[in-house]
Amino acid sequence: MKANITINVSMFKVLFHYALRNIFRVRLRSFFTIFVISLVFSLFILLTSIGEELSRQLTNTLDEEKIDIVIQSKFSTTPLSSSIPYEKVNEIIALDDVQYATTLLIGKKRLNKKASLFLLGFSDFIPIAKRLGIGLIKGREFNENHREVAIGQKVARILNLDVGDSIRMDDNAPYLITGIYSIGLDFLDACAYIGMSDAQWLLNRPNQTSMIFLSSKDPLHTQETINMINNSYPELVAFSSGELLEYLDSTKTVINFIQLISMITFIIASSVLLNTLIMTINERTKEIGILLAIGWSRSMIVLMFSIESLLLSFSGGIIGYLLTYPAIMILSQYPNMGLNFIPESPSFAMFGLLMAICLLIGLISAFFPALYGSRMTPAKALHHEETTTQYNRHTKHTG
Amino acid sequence: MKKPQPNTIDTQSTLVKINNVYKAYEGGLIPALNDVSLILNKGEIYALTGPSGCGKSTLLNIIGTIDFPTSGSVNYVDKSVAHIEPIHKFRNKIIGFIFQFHHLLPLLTLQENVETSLMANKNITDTARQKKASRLLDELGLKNKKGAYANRVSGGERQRAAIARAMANDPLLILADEPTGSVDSKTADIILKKLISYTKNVNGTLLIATHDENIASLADTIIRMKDGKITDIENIK
Repeated sequence: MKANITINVSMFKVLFHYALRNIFRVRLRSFFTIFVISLVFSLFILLTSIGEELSRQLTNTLDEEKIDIVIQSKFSTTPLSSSIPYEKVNEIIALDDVQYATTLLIGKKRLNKKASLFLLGFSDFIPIAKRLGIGLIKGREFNENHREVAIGQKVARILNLDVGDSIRMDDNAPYLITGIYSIGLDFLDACAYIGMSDAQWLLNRPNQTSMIFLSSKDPLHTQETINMINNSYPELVAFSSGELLEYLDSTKTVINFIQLISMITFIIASSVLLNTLIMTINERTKEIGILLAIGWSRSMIVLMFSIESLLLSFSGGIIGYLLTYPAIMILSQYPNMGLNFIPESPSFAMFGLLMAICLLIGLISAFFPALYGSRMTPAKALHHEETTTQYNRHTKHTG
Repeated sequence: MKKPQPNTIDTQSTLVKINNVYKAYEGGLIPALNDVSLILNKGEIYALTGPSGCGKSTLLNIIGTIDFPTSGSVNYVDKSVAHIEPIHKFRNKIIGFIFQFHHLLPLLTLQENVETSLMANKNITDTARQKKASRLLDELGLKNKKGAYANRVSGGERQRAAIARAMANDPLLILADEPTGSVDSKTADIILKKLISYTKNVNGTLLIATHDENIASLADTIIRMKDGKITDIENIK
């Protein structure tokens, strides 16, 4: 393009003004363009934030400084599907290098048609609570075999429960809520904590546990202990807690799936945005012809359409980001959906990246069609067939 | 029929020279101009007449550099259009185009429409641009319509605004394609008077494509076309 691209500030102001006017001229189209951008933007940020939160919570919870060795059944992809018979637990606890061991049974318990929660059954709650940083914020610890339960603060908030209330989890007497815990991680704050035998009963998994957590007497020998357990118990898999995420294949799959859906959403959105803007500019080829005929350069025309497109993309991006807040609020009201990884707020880092991509797509969507239109001879552009009635309605109106 | 010769006067006064121009559309299937040669001189008013589809608009487009010939050459003074760079700047400064259906931008006010033509001129300040557009609209009797959107005024008012836009950069050549075709006789009179007086003032050239013999009679020279060819060039003054 040989056109002179020297555009001064005054001209930029005029082009900006003109672009803004165009957006308001075709209000309905502009509204839907912004709507589509914001909707997809919001969805993408939401999905990505959930994926990030899931990853962050698991990584933080299972920080290797808190627990040395984690054991679960070999072919289970998540702790939920892991099952270890208690006789194995006793054998492992009896190993020489083991200083301390505790077990955890995890399962999902449906409370009623609308709500369910994750039950965490502990063989020894207080030590592991300390190691995981689970802090009592109200009430007291639960007693095993006394039909008592402690709940995470998110469960308390969503189900509107407090200390002294009770939850019915089986056909017998309800469980008394003795305390409310906070960990600061949504996943664990959305669980109920209970004694191991109560959990085995409620989850109908007698004499089983999901995971064993061990700490070595000598941290330097942790790897040797891991190797020994893996050799001696082929049906189990032991690893350092720092590696846990690598073993959580399904968790990784979920994260990858979320990312994949996010990407697909984004690609579809980009295509819609691209198509909308291309159509918009295509319908205005005649206008390009007029501007060329009165002596506008191609660079002025391309810049004007680019400004217009960037304004649409920017508005859509901002509205989309703001829409994520109510979306998070609404989703966090539905624990039954299993969305325990809803973040408190959308990821701002992701917002910056997405906004940049959104603006880039907006720019591309405008740049090439505008360039194409401006490369026509003005006469051809002037006689370009108008495919919508918008322009006609304005031009034919006689006042 | 004898081929009419270009109306050569002298090279000092020649503004546009067209030599053996052919123009065809759709890859040559639809011929529009067939071996057209013409000279337009400064200070002259030309009327281009002929039946619909004879090639008047195509010739105007080619002279106005908004379309290009399939073959042949178009020269401004002594320079070929093909060698003028950048063409948009040339178009903006030298040519003022008045379309049959005004072609104003509907979302802009009449004032802004006139300013769009001046916007491409980077040497003019905001204030000067606004003042000039305002003055031109005043002269064309649109003082009270400057702030009105182009789609909210009558056909005559739009056409007058289109004329103001065409004259905004003080072009030497004004090309008017049926400028009075869609307006009443009173407005047509205002438009023609303005175009003629402007041309005389700047010693420019006015080329009006028209069906109307009365309008043609106001010109210094009438160029008659038929089937893509110039059939007659009549100097009537």
